[in-house]
Amino acid sequence: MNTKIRSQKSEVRSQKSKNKTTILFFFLSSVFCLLSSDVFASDLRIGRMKVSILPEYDSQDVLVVYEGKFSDKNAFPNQVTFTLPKGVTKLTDVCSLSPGGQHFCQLYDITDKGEYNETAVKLPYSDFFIDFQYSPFKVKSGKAERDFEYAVKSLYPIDTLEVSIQEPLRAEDFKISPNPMSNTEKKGFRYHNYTYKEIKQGQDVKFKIKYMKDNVKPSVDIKFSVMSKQGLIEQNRGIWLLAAGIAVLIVFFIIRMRKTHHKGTKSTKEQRLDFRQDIQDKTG
Amino acid sequence: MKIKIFLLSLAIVSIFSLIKYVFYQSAGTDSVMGISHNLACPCECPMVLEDCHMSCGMEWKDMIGQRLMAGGNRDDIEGYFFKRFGKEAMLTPLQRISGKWYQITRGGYPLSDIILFSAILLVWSGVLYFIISGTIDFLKKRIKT
Repeated sequence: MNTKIRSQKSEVRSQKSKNKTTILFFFLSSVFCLLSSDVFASDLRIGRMKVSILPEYDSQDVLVVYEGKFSDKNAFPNQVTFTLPKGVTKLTDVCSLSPGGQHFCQLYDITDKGEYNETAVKLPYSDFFIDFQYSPFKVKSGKAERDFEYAVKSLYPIDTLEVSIQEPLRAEDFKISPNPMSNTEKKGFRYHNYTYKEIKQGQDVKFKIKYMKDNVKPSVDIKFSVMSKQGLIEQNRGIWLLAAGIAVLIVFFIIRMRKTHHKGTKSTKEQRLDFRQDIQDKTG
Repeated sequence: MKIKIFLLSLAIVSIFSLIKYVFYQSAGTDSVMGISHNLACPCECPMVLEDCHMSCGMEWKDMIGQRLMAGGNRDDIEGYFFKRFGKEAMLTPLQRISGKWYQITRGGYPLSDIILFSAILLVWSGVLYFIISGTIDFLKKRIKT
């Protein structure tokens, strides 16, 4: 009998230890997976990246588009980080493209890193597409010179980096340095192109752009801009709508308060009258 | 009761705003965005062309722009897309709803816009709440008298 109980107990113990081993195994493997994904994140490499810089394309700002693909598609989904020029606080799009061609636009965080800003994005696939506007120069009106520097800085090594700078329409004395490797004409625009191989992690590739323009009109009327997009709400209109709503709300609130106050005072008056009536009745 | 009225107001304002956002065309019909409001994204995804910034969608937007500049109007351009790409290029109301829902749920908007939109919803729900509760009070008084 005793031996039976003992053997049962030992079975239970061995079962428990097996369970513990399984839990420990799962715990360790999940920790390993997490750690290995971090390793992947730091070991990532961009196969091809194209940076398009379009000064005053459909607004008075500079439109910048990053398109590319990470070499190791098996490392995704993964969190990646891109650098942005100082002053960029809003991105127009941060998307990943599935092999089937589906968009996966992502939420993003922008952090200030001193000399530049950084955006951390979780990409489901290795393809990426980012576009944003930034204002390196402020020209209000009249003939003025635009002079700015754009630095392409990648936190990952890049096998092939292509940079294309669009010359704004009606720009005069357009100068860029370094000298472009090739020039192309496409749909009425002149592009200055560069191709670099084997860009190291953190390496800066800088471009100086300088030109004159008579006015602040962008190259393309927003009506014909391919970059135009419907927002959830138009910022200026939204702020006005919110302000109007708050004003109406305050008016309603005041009316309500007055009404309740009025009701309160009326009832005390009525009480006083009743009280006087009682006294008069008692005194006869 | 107050909470119920507020929730009703919030639901009414939210539904109204969503319908406006999904179906209302804010851009003019003589603009790329205005015309791409009625076209599907060609990138094998459920998006509406006006929200699409990928190269395949930009090619279509570019075609619209060129046709507009050449003097085409909305009907001509939509007709061209229908003839060239078939009915898949045109959006049905259901496709539009799913496309816009996709855009919202994929985080296609900056946080500041979402906060502003939510604040507007809450404030105008409050306004509607006062209107509804005021009307109820008024009707109650009338019934009493």
